[in-house]
Amino acid sequence: MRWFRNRGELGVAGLLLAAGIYVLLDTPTIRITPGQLAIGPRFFPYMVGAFLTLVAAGLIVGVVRSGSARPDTDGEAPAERPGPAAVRVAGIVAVAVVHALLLNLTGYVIAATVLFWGAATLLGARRPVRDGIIALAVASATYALFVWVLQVPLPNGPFGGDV
Amino acid sequence: MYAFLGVFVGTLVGVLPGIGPALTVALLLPMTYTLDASASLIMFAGIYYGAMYGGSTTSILLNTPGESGSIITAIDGNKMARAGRGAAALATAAIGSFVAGTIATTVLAFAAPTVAALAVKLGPADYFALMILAFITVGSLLGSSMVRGFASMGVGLLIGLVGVEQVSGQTRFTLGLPQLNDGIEIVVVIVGLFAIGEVLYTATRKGGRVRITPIRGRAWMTRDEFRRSWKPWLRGTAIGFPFGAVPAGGSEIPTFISYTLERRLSKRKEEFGKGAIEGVAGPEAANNANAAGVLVPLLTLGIPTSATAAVILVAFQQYGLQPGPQLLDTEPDLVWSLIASLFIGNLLLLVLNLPLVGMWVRLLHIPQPYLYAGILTFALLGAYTVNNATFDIFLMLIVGALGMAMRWFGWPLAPLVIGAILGPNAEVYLRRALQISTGDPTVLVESPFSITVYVIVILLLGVPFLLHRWEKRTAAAITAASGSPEDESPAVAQKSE
Repeated sequence: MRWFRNRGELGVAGLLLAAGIYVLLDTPTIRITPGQLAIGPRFFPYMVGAFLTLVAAGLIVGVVRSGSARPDTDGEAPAERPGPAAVRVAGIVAVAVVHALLLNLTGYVIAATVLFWGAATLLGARRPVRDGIIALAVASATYALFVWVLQVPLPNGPFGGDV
Repeated sequence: MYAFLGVFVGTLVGVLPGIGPALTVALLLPMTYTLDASASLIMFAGIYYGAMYGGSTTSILLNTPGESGSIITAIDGNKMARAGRGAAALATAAIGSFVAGTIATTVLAFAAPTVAALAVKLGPADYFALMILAFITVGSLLGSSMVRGFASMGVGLLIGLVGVEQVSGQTRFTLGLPQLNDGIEIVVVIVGLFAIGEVLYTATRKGGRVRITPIRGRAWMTRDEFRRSWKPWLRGTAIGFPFGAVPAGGSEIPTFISYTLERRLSKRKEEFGKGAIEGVAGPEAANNANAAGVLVPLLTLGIPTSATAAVILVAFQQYGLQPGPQLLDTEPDLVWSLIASLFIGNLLLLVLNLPLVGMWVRLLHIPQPYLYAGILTFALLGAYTVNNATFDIFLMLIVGALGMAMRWFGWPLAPLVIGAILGPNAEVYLRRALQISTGDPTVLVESPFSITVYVIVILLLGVPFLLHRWEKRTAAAITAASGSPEDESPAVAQKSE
């Protein structure tokens, strides 16, 4: 099991390899329009696919042989964040997804408040009420800045766009 | 006016830990959507320089450089701060950056028309050769290993492939999703990679308070410190500018060279590693000159040599402008006003930042959760405003996850951006060249220009090994000089500038 610990990079390298192979396999479906003198729309994809596959293979070989370099963890203070890392990451992604889905339903301000509050809490903010207020403030300020000052449209919620 | 705003905001965001100049410019891109071309470019000039300065502030005070160009500054700069001379460090960084920026921008102003005139003579085969050069250099010189650099670039190339193919108009690799027909927006990629990747990466760490070294007094230097600084400023500028102008990618090398040079030239070698002001003055000037140098190939050839340059290129393209040799002819006013605003931005940087240092420092005290939550919010907002679609938000999240993985495993991020931007261009040039020659591949190596470029490429493939070994030897010497091993070395984040 320990052999895998230092070789998580294999996962990403594997993905890369898969991507390269996918490109190589999918390229033939690109239609070549007749009358093309020189290289057509397939040439570059083939090259990129081959490049990806080669590099991924090289990476895999390298990682299998000697493992990956670990990111340095110097000067770390004791844990201030709740839960294991994977949960936090998944949580943030989930909050972001919720945010995206809420955007057209509830308008920007509410969606952004949810996003900010969720992310901050997952990252270690400990005072829900205060965080909520800050979240709302940030969301509102951003909305104001973009819609009123910069004239960039953002989705309006139930509170209407004529605010 | 816009320059002021740009510099202000740029420094503000640049100071924030974890946000390098490329990300700063990308994050602030949505703010410029509704401005006209010249106003927004002026703002960008301000943001560009401001972000660089903010990054050096972070590295001096926090020992966490926000971009690769500031890593060297952190070595002596932070030591100076801890010794109570933080104000002087910041001052020398600011003034040095100003001097470097002014000189470099002047050279830029003179060089641009000359290079542009030369560039017009280049054919598509030559451009293609240049792009290969950019690919090779960016892929091989950045990051911990060449393989990973190329892997990163490969992903970028793949991203660049998605979308409608130029000549035949059919879609490639869109997985049947109509939203991908226009390809993957590069801004989404950049912000997702840098911002979301950073946020997610931070989430995987345990967190904790960052140590901020307080500054005493106003940011100024004693006369002695000034005297010790000015030559390093000039030397740093001379070193930094050429490196920026050449597609060698990355600002670590020139700052590194500057530091080593200052150390060799100094009569106070022992001070290096403990807080020698030359160790801050030189590299900072080099960093700024490098930034200005990057603009030379960007404006004249349309080739970005750093992630930040890539973002600026995208900004240009948003307005339908394509930087390159024609730009000077078709939009001379724009280019000159951009250069002028670089000067102004530079000046404003100096005027603004010396007194405002206290405010920047206070910014650093924002607790991490709020900071990163804010970054996340802003980044996703940027994604949404690109096309007013939530699809891009999901896209950004996916890219962000990729970014996190890349940071975790030490893959450099800049090659991806460069690959994504230059890939499509390279394809166009390649096909155009081959079309002109009706399929004859030797056209790629016909002109003397392309031959020279390819020779350089071959040479360059050998250089990284030498540089790497030289770098390791010097780094070992530096850490030996800076004293006990318990000293924290600057947290070398895998950032791109």
